[in-house]
Amino acid sequence: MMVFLSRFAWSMVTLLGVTFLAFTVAFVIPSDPARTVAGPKADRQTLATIRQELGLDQTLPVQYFRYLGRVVHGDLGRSYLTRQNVLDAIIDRLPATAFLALASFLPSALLGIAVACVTARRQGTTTDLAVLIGSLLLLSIPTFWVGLLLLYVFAYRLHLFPLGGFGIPNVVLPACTLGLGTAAYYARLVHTNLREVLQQEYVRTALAKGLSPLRVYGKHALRNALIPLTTLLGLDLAGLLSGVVLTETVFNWPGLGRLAVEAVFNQDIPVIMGTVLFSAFLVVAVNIIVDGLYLLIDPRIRYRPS
Amino acid sequence: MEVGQRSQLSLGWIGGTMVTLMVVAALAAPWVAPFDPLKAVAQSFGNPTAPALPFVLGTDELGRDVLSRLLYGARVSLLVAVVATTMTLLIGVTIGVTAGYVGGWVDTVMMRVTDVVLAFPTVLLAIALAALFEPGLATLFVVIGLVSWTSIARTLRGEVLSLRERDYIAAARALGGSPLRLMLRHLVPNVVPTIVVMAALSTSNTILLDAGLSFLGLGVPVPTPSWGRMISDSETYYRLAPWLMIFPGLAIVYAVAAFNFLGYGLLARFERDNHPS
Repeated sequence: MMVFLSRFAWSMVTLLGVTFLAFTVAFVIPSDPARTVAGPKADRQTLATIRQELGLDQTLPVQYFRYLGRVVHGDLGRSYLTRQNVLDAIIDRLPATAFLALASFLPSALLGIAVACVTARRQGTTTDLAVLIGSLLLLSIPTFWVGLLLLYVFAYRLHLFPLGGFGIPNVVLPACTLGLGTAAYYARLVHTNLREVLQQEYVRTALAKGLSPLRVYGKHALRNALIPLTTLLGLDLAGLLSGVVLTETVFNWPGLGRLAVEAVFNQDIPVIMGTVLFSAFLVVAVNIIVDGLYLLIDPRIRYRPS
Repeated sequence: MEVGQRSQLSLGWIGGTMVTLMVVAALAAPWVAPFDPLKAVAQSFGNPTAPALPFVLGTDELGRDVLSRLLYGARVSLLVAVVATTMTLLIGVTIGVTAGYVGGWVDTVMMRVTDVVLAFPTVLLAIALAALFEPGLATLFVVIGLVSWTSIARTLRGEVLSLRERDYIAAARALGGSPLRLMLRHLVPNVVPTIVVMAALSTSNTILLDAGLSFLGLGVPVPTPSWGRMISDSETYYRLAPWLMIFPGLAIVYAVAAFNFLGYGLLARFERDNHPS
């Protein structure tokens, strides 16, 4: 419990740091923060109003605290283009991204694990080398390129899937694109763990005792090889949100990633910074939750003498 | 990993060869490239032409030779890779080694800063930063350097933490060395292998990130050829000219894989040095 509380407290510190970094990028670096908030087309009157509202004539610490206050109340500013509240825009797009993330993560993680189970059973350094090279190659492929290729082959040439947009048949190609790296990563990770576990004595003992190989691999080996995974299955959310940016752009998927990219094209700074801040918050929040869950699941941590 | 050390080392050699080939090709581009990458050389302005002599990889919609653009694009990619990775290393090594060696509140503060940067999805942070600054090479260097240093910092901190307890460090301290001198003369040489491995792996990530940023239009400005940009430019023409999309992508895969293989080969080499079996 103490462990969780201390981690929670540190996460709060991290969140504070996140707001500080976002504030620095949005307000300290640009030469005219009022301009970045109001947009390139704003007139001097608007700029003056904004300067007063945001207290840009105040000292930096005061500015930061006012910024923090606004953030805590969910005021992430307004988009130049649509005049929409940034937070509302983000919440609008969030379900689409979540759908894509889940649709890609679960199948690809499972695929990676399945591949690993199959390859780990074959002894020999050749298979290991093949897994290493294969996963390295897959991880070297840029996501946006895979996306475009898949679009070209499966949507344009073979007419199997739609050319983008939102919906269940539309999610297949983007999910495959996003999931490629995940699958490769998990395949290699589980393969390594499983091979290590399979060398252990208790596996050999179980086999010698006459237990069916299927039971041994399935029950004992896999369960133990998966324990390090539970930490990672807490989703590398930062990585996922990162990959989603390019994938959503390629497939015209109406999610957070595309929101950010559109904002970049339109120089819509409030939306960009809002999305960035929100994502970081999400990452920290999910990490806290996963930490809590992990502490609950793994009895070794619970009963560790403090 | 169970992969035989020898095979992993061979992988390293393959990677090293691939990298060397790429560097040579990039450096020799002005002499080796068959055409000027910026000039329309095919007679068909507005129509990409398929691969056929003399345009070995075809031409793009402005009549420019794809092969030449790829070769010149290699120069840009390598330049960004080297400079951005150097920045990443400078930041990451300084933070990691200092945090690991000095420990205490310095370590805590530095690790918190690392956590904060890690909370931001890399590509999102990169595009936000790139959008705020003027597009260009310098922006690319800084942006990529600023978002990539965290894994090096963390790894090095771990290494230094374990090295710190070794006997020879205690001996050096007993002999009265100043902490800075200690750090520089004794610790750093021992973390150099790790730094080298991480440099190779970080370079591959840098190339990917650079390609992504260029794809979004945040990289080097036109008309300088850049692989990522070539791919995004090819989107409009993919029905007519799929080769415009395929070749730059292959180039990226080649470059990234080269550094990944090299990195893993070096990893095997240093593991062999540490644990001769």
